[in-house]
Amino acid sequence: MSNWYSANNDNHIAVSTRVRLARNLADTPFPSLLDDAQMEQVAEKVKKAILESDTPFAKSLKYISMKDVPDSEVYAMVERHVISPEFASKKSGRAVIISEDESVCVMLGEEDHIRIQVILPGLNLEKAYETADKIDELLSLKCGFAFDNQLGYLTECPTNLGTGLRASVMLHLPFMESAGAVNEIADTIGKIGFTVRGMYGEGSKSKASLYQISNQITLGITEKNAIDNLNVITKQLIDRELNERKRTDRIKLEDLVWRAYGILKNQRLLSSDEMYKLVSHIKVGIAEGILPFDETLPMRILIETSPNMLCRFTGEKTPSERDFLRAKQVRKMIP
Amino acid sequence: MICQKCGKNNATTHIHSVIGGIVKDIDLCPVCAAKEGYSTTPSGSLASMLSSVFGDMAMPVNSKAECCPCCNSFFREIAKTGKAGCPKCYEKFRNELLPYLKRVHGSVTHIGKKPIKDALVVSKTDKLSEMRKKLSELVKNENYEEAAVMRDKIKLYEEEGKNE
Repeated sequence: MSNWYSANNDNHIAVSTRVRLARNLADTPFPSLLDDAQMEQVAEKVKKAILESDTPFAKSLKYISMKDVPDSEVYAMVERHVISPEFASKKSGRAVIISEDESVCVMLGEEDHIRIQVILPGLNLEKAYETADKIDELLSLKCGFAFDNQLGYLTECPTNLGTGLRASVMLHLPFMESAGAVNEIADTIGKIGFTVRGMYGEGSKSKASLYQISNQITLGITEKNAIDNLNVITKQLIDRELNERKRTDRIKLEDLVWRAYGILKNQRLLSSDEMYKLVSHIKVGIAEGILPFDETLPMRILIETSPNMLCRFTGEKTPSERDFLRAKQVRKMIP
Repeated sequence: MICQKCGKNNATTHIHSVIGGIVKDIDLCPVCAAKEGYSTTPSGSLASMLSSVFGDMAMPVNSKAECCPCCNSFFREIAKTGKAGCPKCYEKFRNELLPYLKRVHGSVTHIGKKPIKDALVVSKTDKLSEMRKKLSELVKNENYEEAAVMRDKIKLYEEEGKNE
């Protein structure tokens, strides 16, 4: 079963779509005020609500207590975008309810009791929300959610009040980036309640020219409007990126792509920073039909050769050992 | 320039906001700006923005001493961390929080979906009144047999509701 980065996606710019809903149980302090045993009780309640609901959908999900997951795999899950870096920072008391392809992951004990996350390949906000909403409804029947008629769903951080919905799209914007347009866009869309972040969300820098665009406002807006607005912005950004790409000299572009290919096919030591840069060029090469490779290849390389993904089966390595391992793995993956 | 809110003091803060495509310009005096949740401190991360907003706000006297009855959090702790302790904190410190929420979200009224449990309660009430209406119609038409069945149905439905 393919997950978001290995599934076919004909949208070369929109890499993935993510939707998350923040929910909390009523009458229970938020996770930062709960000890591990109390958080485990919350997790147990949610687990029962989902897994015992006896729907075919619930049967496709699996409950995993984070303390049973080895550290390297926990960080590999962050690199696959299955869990947030914050969630990975602590294992005790925390658990996930996850689908086989990892497109659905309910994090229990992050900032809020429940964080329903759906991640899909390409630009697919409606489908991602629909799935998250289905889990929300399933849970809301059995767990009493903290809800206020005026403020909506109550969350630990007031910035998530209301719908508790954060929708984001990961976009590959190398041409806008080199034209210096990303900062300008970040300012503009910031004014209408959206934000631009790096590949791993809040506080992270962009790698491989990948940017996450997400909604900031959750109170006073419906879920549908938030998603529709993000769709409109995303489509405009895609158009702008395509225009910047068209303006680039074809020979220079081909040179950039073939050089990246040459290095990736022949290198013997590859740092993750160099890999991000070159894979970004390869991604453009595939989109432009310069390289006849599978469109999922760039994202597969990017995720599968991240430090923890790389060492999942080999045990911990030093950075230079990792560079050697990464070099070998990338040579094998590039046709 | 006079403050557009109180119409008394001199305006020192100009607010230009674009929320959901609606552009608003307003000039406020320091007191009204603080009441509306506008900080004079430049904002950085969300948490620092929260604490700077709260820090600038004139705190109501009682909020300094009173804590949330559920989790014992004080408003000053929420203001410092930018995080509530439990859902009840929002009830307890609603008035202190509203100006800040207005600034962050541009609104303080949820218009999105509601938990299904609440929706069910509404539909259940609707269904009950419909069933009662039918019962009185059956009685009116002297259809006592069917009325008895309906009466039992209503009783069962009400009991189910109590057990939930």
